[in-house]
Amino acid sequence: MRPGRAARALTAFGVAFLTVPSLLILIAALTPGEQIAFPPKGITLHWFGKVVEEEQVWISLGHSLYAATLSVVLCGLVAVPAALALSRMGGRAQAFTTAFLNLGITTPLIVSSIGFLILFTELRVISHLTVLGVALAVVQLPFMMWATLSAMAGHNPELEQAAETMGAEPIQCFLFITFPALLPGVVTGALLAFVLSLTDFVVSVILTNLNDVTLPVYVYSGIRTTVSPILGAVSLVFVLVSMLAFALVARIGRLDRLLAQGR
Amino acid sequence: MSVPATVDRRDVAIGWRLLDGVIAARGALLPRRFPRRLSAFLQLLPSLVLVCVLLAGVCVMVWRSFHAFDSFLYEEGGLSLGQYRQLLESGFTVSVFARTIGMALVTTPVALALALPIAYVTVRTRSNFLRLLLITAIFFPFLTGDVVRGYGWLAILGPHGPLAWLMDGLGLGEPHVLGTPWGVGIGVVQLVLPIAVMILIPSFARLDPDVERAAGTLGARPWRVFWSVIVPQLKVGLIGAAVVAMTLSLTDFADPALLGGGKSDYVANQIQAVVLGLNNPYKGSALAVMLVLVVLAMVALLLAAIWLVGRAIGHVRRRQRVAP
Repeated sequence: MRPGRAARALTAFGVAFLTVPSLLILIAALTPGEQIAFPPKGITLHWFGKVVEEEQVWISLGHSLYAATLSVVLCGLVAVPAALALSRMGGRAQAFTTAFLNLGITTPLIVSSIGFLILFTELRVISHLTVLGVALAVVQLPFMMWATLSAMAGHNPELEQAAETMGAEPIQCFLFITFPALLPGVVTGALLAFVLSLTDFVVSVILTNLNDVTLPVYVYSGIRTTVSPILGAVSLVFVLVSMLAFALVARIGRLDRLLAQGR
Repeated sequence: MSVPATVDRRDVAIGWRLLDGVIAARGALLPRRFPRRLSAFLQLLPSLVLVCVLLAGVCVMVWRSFHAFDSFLYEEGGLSLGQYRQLLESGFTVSVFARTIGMALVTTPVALALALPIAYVTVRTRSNFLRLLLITAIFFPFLTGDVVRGYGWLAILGPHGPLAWLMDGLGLGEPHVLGTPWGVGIGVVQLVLPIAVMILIPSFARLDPDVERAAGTLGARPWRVFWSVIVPQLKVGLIGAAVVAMTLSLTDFADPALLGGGKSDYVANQIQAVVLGLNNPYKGSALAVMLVLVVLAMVALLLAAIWLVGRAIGHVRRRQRVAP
């Protein structure tokens, strides 16, 4: 049965509500004046040139990339074997372990961030960005496991048994059977974790200080004073990166399966 | 015809030789098969350690919250409930908690009311293009992050944005949305909505469309089908979405920080202000513990309310059946 008219109207409104404000950033970034004006008085690419010249943008982008890369690598190394083990477990042990590993998203972000801040201050760890990378890895771990497990749901375990019967070593079994089957899930999870780490705001704002701000925190400290077009041009970077990652995930084709995993 | 007497060993790719080496080394050092439990444990160990870092941080935080603290000398005092007592006695803290809870009670139902039709249309539409469009729109704000969302709303609702232009054109004066709880609420709904939809989509996907068709054949209007046939079947997904929406609303940090302009702070913002602004991690820890307790209490209340409503509806339905 087709959804009724009310459902379709509400959906259209919801979609506009979710996307239009962020898409308007493009218009904002093309504004000629120092401040955003509506309706726009002309179009300029001037601000994009300014962004490229701005040293602080590149420095904070470097910080963001460092933390996000660290988080994805850590997350991947840890989540893939965990997903392998989880898929073979059952009953209460599996439920309990899953709940424990999901603590990163079930704990409110502000609480985990303060917890990390207090712990690493206590341990006198100086590198804020490394701490941020570890913290983000804990927070993104559930997404990575979710994606890997969903790839595993479509994998036939008898394939490994067959390979073993034919004399494959455990390492060969993993490299040539298990890993290729999991790869789409791992890539999906890694892209998700990377983008979410790159655009993270809450954990970064708590864990970084003035010398190692990430790009979202840089934009945040700017828009607190004026909503200038140059920050719109910077924000567009996030829009482009996340949409590129999304397109890749959709292309790999595991999007529907990712959503079906929640059953 | 000439057959080479020996195979040239250099032809064998380096990767394969490396793999042979690894296999040989593993065979020499480790048994071919680990006991099942041991191998599962070893595979889980790194992730358990990683999450234990978070657990350790939260434990230190809770421990701190039960200590006195001299913020002037930056010295830890003895065990005490002083931080909690001070916070509960402060009218400001109580008002921040009241605002956070009050806003969550508004934003949760609004987000669910929008999430239900979006998830429904996403699952039931016949057009693959529309489905992809909807899923992209759902993931868009989730992936682009809080700062991009905040920037968008600041541009729209701000003094020179489209809303100001529209209201000026209609002769309504300047908009006062930013800095008010309404402005924050808009951001919170946008934060919560995608996640509520993502939780609801699998529950919708599990429903049998024939049941809806049957209801339609029997003469039910679309909204009747939605409320009386679809929503009751969604129970678990709906409860899950409500609990997550409530939790995210109560603990939101980014939207009050970006759209509230310091005038409509939530508890999360006060935690940041106390820990980083006032340099008092002890009081901040106590606030964080209180926030977690409030979240747990609100989720318990929500579940109790859902249970009571479900029971009441059941009563009404049974009575209708007895006396038609």
